[in-house]
Amino acid sequence: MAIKRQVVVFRIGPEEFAMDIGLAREIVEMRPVTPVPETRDYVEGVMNLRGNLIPVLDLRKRLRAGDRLKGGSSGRMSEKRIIIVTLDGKQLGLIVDAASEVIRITDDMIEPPPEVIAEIGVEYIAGLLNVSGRFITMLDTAKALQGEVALELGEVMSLLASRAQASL
Amino acid sequence: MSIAGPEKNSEFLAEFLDDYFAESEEHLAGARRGLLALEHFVHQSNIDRASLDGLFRSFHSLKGISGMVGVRAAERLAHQMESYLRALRDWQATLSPEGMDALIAGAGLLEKIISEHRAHAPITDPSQLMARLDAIISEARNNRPVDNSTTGSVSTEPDPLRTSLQALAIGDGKNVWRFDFVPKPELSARGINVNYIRAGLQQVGELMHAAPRVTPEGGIAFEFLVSTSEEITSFPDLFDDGVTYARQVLLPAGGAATVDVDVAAAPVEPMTASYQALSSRASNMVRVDLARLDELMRMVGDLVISRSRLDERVKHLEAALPAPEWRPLQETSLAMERQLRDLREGVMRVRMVPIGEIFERMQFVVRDLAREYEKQVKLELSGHQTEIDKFLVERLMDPILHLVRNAVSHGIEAPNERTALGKPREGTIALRASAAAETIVIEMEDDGRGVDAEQVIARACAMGIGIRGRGAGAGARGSGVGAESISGPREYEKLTEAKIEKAENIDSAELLELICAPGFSTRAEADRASGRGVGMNVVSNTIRGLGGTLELKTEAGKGTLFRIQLPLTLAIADALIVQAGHHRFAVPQASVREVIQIDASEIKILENNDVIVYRGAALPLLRLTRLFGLPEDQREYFHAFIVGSGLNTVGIAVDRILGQREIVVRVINDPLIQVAGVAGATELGDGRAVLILDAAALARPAEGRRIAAHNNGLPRPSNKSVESRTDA
Repeated sequence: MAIKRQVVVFRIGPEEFAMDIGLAREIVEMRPVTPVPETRDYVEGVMNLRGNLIPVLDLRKRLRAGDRLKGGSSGRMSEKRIIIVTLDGKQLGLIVDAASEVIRITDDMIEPPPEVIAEIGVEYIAGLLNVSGRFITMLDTAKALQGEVALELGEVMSLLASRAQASL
Repeated sequence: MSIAGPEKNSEFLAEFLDDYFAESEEHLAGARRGLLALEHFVHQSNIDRASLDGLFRSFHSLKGISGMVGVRAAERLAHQMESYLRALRDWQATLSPEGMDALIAGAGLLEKIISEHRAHAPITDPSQLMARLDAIISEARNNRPVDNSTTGSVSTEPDPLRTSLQALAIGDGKNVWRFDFVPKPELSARGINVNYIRAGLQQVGELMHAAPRVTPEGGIAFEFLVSTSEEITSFPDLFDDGVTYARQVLLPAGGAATVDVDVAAAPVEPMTASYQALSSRASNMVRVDLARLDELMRMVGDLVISRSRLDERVKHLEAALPAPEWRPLQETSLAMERQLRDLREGVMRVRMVPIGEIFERMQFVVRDLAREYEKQVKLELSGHQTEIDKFLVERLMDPILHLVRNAVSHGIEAPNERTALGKPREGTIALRASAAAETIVIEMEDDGRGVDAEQVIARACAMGIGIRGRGAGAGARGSGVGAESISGPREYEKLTEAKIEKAENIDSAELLELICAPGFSTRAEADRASGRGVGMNVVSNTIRGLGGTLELKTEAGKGTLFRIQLPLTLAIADALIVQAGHHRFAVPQASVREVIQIDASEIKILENNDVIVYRGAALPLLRLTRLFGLPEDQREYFHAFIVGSGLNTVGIAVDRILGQREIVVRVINDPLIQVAGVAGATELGDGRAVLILDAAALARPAEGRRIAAHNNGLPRPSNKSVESRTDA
């Protein structure tokens, strides 16, 4: 019997990603973020959520999703969301291009990431989710937010795409 | 209900231990005060009864609570000290200098033992000091007036302590009762815990001994011995289930026997009755966990924010509605503001404790050190009633301790040297505290030899520590030979040759900076009091961390003055709201010295730095937009606020000053957004986070420049300010 779980599906550019719902506390609409000087480029700043100060990261910049993941409807401000995650007891906001869905999956729907992903050291990809023909990349959020991100996400995605194509 | 398991017990004990530490701190503080008063009576025999009684109570309580948590060493020592005090009181013995020393040493050792227990460290054996006390007591006994022979012998045999205690009490014609209390969760839910029982027993008579023991079932029980001169046959109105008691009778052989009173027959009174009986006699002091007060303060902060939101809405209404419609609302809002201020002050007052707590300790530090260095020093305290946040007291102890130690070991000269210099043989260290508006000032002044600038510079050069380039002259940086190896996060520069030759060229701020440099020490070898080279660095870091400033004034041969300035409270502050590059910032008012308006044409450029003429001198001007890499408009005039002091004075230019208001300081502790120059964030009622500037950090040239350099090298993406206004 496969274990059932729920994931939040969100978008960066045209690509769909998912993270375990256990990590996501809530999803809020894009709101003013106060920039903080002298921080990493992917740190958008700090926002005030009901009296709590929460650092906000741009997940696109964090994952180094460069120009290749431009497109889709990423330019639409009204679709942008901030996913509030809890990591090591701290809250963190992640800006994504859109987040609208929570889907139920079973563990056996997650395919392990292709070996090539592990070879290039992109540990933050936990697997590939095939939901009736939609390919969603399952993100290991903790790993995605720790350490250095070496490879541009755009390249990773095209690698994944070629791999998915080959398997069809 | 089952018997409480071991986990329940350990949890219970931990809570109990916290109480113990807090309470022993109080009694030790009381004891220290008492000892200071007692010192005036050395060589006298008719000692002020009140002083003795106060001290006696302090040590007696320490003995009692130490016994209860099983800190035997502290219990035995406190008992011995009590015995000496009893000798002084009952036999009117003369207080010898040795006796005074032993009492002071005893108080110190008690504190040490208790903190060792807290740290789970090996406990120092008090036997040596106890033997000393024993000898002093014997001497007092031998010298006592012949006509006084009422009391029984003061036991110097710590083991078996209980027996001797009972012997004492029973010898006094008192009855000794033994109470056993077994804590249970259901009892504690009704407020019946060890402290409650103990408080109750203290009403019954004198609590002589208390100790926890493990019951055969693995639970915990507490055993109390209470002596009372009253003849009581039973205690039906005091305790219901949970406490059993029995009268202790001393056998001629010296052992104790127990005569059981029929406990089961003791009627179980309704709880409310016994509750009232006890609470009406209990002390009206409440001990509160600081975290709970923090929580309360946070809630007050939330209220302040809600109120400013309300105010904002009322302002909107003012434009839309006729005056009679919005005026009552505005009045209510204003009344609420006043009430909130009162509420905030009320909560703050609860957190305030007199700084005397720290000052009094210094008496002992000075006394000990003066003896060790063979110097004569008197300590003058003033303003010790000044109240500061409890949070600050705990953190200020070490810095003040260090300054005082330095004053005794480095500052004050030896008596002969002082006489030769025409100074009084006895040096003076003054500790002063005062509160002014939103800040508190603590000063430590000595009349010693002052900080020897030449020696400091020579030492700094030898250690490769130099002065940072600063302010307007920062453009020309020295070559920094060897400086890199010790510099750490900050940049240090080698001193120029001219500065080394002329010590008078160095000002006191630079001197302070050298002394506070990491690793700086004027002593070739470390000694106990000072010279480990971590002290002043830690002092300055601690004070900076608390949002305060440290200043130095020193004059060769005359003395040294350290001035610590701190914000009174950390949670809510009055702030200036400023705007720069379309962003708002808050600047705590306590750090702003002056606000000025500058015409763009007044700004001169000197070695790549903006400078204005201000009060006849050149004042470096930092533009907030440039420091933070914000978009900059062409402007005809700026506003600037002046921060820092001495040579670290700078003006920080902003586009506009929006006003002044109360802000709730929220500390940023996520390293992702923790940067120099930003002290925290707040919100002003519209839900947006507004950064609070750390003016002191901005005024420090190295950090100011670092931010600027960083932001210039790495321009912020231009879309940032656009995104931050998305839903405007």
